[in-house]
Amino acid sequence: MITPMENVNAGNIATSLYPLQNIGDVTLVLSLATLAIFAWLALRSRNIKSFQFQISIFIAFYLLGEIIESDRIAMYLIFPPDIGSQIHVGSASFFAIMMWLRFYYAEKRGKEMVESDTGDESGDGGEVKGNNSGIGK
Amino acid sequence: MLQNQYYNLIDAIVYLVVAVIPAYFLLKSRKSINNDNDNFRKLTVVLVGFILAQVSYHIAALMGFRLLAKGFLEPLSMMALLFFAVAYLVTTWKGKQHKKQRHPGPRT
Repeated sequence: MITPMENVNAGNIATSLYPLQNIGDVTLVLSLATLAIFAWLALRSRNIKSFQFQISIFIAFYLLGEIIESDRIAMYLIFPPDIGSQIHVGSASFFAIMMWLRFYYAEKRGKEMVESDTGDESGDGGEVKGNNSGIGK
Repeated sequence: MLQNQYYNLIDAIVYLVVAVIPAYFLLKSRKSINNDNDNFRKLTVVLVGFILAQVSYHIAALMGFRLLAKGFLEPLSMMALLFFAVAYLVTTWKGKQHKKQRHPGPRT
C-alpha cells in the first residue's frame, strides 16, 4: 500500500494515487456544495431538530473525514493514520441513529419524518403536524 | 487499531441499516397517487440511491478495488447526495410557491 509519506519520499507526484487525488478533490467540492445547500436550508428553518440541520451535521462530519483522509492534506497532519476512517464510521453511525430516531418518533407521534419547509415564517421549522403526505408516512 | 478494511465493513453495514428506512417508505407509498407524496417519493429514491452508492463504495474498498471505490463510487454517491439536496431545495421552493398561490397575502 502506498502511503502519502512514501509519495513524498519518492519525490514522484505522478504515482498511482495521482488520479485519485484529483477525483478526491471532485468529491470534496461535491460534498461542500451539498453542505452549503443543507446549511442554508437549516439556517432558514432555524430549528436544530429539523432534518436539514441534522443532515448538515452528517455531511460536515463526512467532509471532515474526507479532508483528513485526503492524501495531500494527511501528510501535514499529526493525527493517527486511521482517524479519517474513524470519522467516516462516526458520521455513518450518526446518520443511522438520526434516521432511526426520526423513524421512531414519526411512527410514535404520527408526524412526518422530514419536515415540510413550506410556511415556516413562524420559525418553528415548518413541521407539519398530523400531515401524512411527507416522506415519513 | 483496526485495519481500514474493518472500517469499510462497519461503514457498509451501518449504511445498509440506514437504507432499510427509506426502502420501507418506498414500499409503503407505492400505491399512493397523492402528488405531494410523489415528490417525496422521488426524494426518497434519490436518498436510497446515495445510500446504496455508499454501500457499494465501501464494499468495493473492502475488496481492494481502490480505483473503483475512490475514483467512481464515492464521487457517484456524492453526486447523488448533491442531487438530493437540489431536489429537496426545489421541492421546498415549489411548496412555498404553491402555498403563496393558495393563501395570497392581504390586498392593499
